[in-house]
Amino acid sequence: MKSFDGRKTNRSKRNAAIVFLAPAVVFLLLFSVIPMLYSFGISFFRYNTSMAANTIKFIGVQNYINVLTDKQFLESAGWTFTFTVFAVLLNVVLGMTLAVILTTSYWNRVSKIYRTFFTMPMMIAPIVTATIWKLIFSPVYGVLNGILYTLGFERVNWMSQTVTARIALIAVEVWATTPLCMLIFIAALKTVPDEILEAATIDGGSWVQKFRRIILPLIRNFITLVITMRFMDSIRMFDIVYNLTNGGPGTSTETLASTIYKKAFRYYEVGEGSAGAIIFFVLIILFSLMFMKLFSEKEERTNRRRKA
Amino acid sequence: MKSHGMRAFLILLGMTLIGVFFFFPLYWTFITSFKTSSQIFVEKPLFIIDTLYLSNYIEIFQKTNVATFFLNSVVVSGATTVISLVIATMAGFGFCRYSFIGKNALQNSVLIVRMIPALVYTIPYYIIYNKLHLLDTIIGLILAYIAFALPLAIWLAINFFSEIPKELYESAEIDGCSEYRIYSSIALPLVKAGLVVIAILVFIGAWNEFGLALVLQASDAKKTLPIGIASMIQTHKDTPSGSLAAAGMLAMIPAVILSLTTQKYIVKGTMAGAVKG
Repeated sequence: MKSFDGRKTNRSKRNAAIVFLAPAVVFLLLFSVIPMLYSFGISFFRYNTSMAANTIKFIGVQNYINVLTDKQFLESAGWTFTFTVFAVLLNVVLGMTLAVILTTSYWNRVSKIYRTFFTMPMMIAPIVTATIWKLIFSPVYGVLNGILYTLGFERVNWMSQTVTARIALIAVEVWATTPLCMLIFIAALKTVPDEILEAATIDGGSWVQKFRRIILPLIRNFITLVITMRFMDSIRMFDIVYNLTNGGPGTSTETLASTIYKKAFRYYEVGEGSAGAIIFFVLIILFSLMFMKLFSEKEERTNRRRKA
Repeated sequence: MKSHGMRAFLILLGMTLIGVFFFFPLYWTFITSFKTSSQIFVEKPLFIIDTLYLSNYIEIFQKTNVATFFLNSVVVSGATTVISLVIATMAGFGFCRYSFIGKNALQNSVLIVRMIPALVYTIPYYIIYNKLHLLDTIIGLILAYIAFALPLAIWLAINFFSEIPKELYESAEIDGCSEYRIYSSIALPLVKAGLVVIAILVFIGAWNEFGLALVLQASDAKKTLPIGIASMIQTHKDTPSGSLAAAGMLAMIPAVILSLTTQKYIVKGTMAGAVKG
């Protein structure tokens, strides 16, 4: 009787497990795994959606060769990387500065108002961010040029020069993404026990010393988190570039994502576009492996130093 | 003491400058949306206005399909959130409650799916949807968004459910609770705060999504707000600043409300989703 019951509950449990997990598994199979395999498959074909179906032809790794020798693709990879490094660096520096100041005691009262102001850009859609900054950078009636004009300077055509367009894009990305970094750093700083800091103050440690020797090592994991998260996010930059500069002037602000997008949907080369997207995916995996290795090594090294 | 005052002043100055950088663009959009065109097209910009004119808002509702875009965005984001929440909590509960062969492999593959850049999906979605006649449909977009949302949502759900002690399930089982009752009456109520986190992140993700909608949605009747606004910028190059600002304000509403009221949840969710991921 007992064993029968046991088998019965086991079977009903197994059924329940299937019922609970099946929807997710089926959904991800149909809508993630199959499309991905499909994309991988057509990356080996000459496939142009604007041409008749009989022009689709297997060409091996030719698409990959084309993409990797395409000057535009390599240039956009370089710019995407530069963009990401600058944006993440500013994210960390600005976010940490704000977090430190806002958690310092005599700022407590104003801190709440500031935090509300700072965090608003965080949730806004990239397209709205682009719209907002269009109003600011617009050449004739944009407010930035308006201010320059009022102060007696020449108007600048921000989006038609490579350097200013690139600086503008980094500034916009920093504007949109720093608030979340700041909030994470504030949460991080709250994990540092007050007693340790007080003890250091009594020992006569200066503020910079305290920050470098006590706070930084304690919150290193949070910094790792912010850098990794932001890097992976910025490297995919598409929306803001597409709407603010549309890659221009020329193709100088075209990112990896926008280059691949245009290949597939403006020139209809979905085969070559897929090859580009797969290469992009491989790059992302390589970067995340690199981050994992980099940060775990660092951790080991500091652990060893602490033991010694 | 003097140097302390100097430092406080410098910090105040720095904070004000950073504050201006972060806040001014929003303020500028806000007042631009309430200006008349004669107030917008001036050589020296007006920073303060005494009357809030509604003409820009009236104009975008009359001349563009912004009302349709907004409604589509609400439907798409709402449906994506609800369905993702159901599927993800079921999966999260399943992963935490049962052990089976290949469980770890399955959980890890959810993580890998999360890393795939949207572009890898966008191209096959376009081709497959074209064949299935799902291009330019609301249903098609919702299905795609659920697929985008699920990896993160499942991952968060696993995190939240794993905090529930196993003994609770066992005692419920002894009391004769069915597995489905355990899920709905015991597990779900215990992770209510977690459900809010998942819902917010999924909703905002869908509300803000741009690239996929740009490829899949073609007609004005099926466009969401982000691509609706983008087409106002791109195709009608002469769309006046006032209308753009007004459309931007409309699209901002849910984001600003959520970021003001649920900041804590967002930080918690982002960290829970990223720390182990």
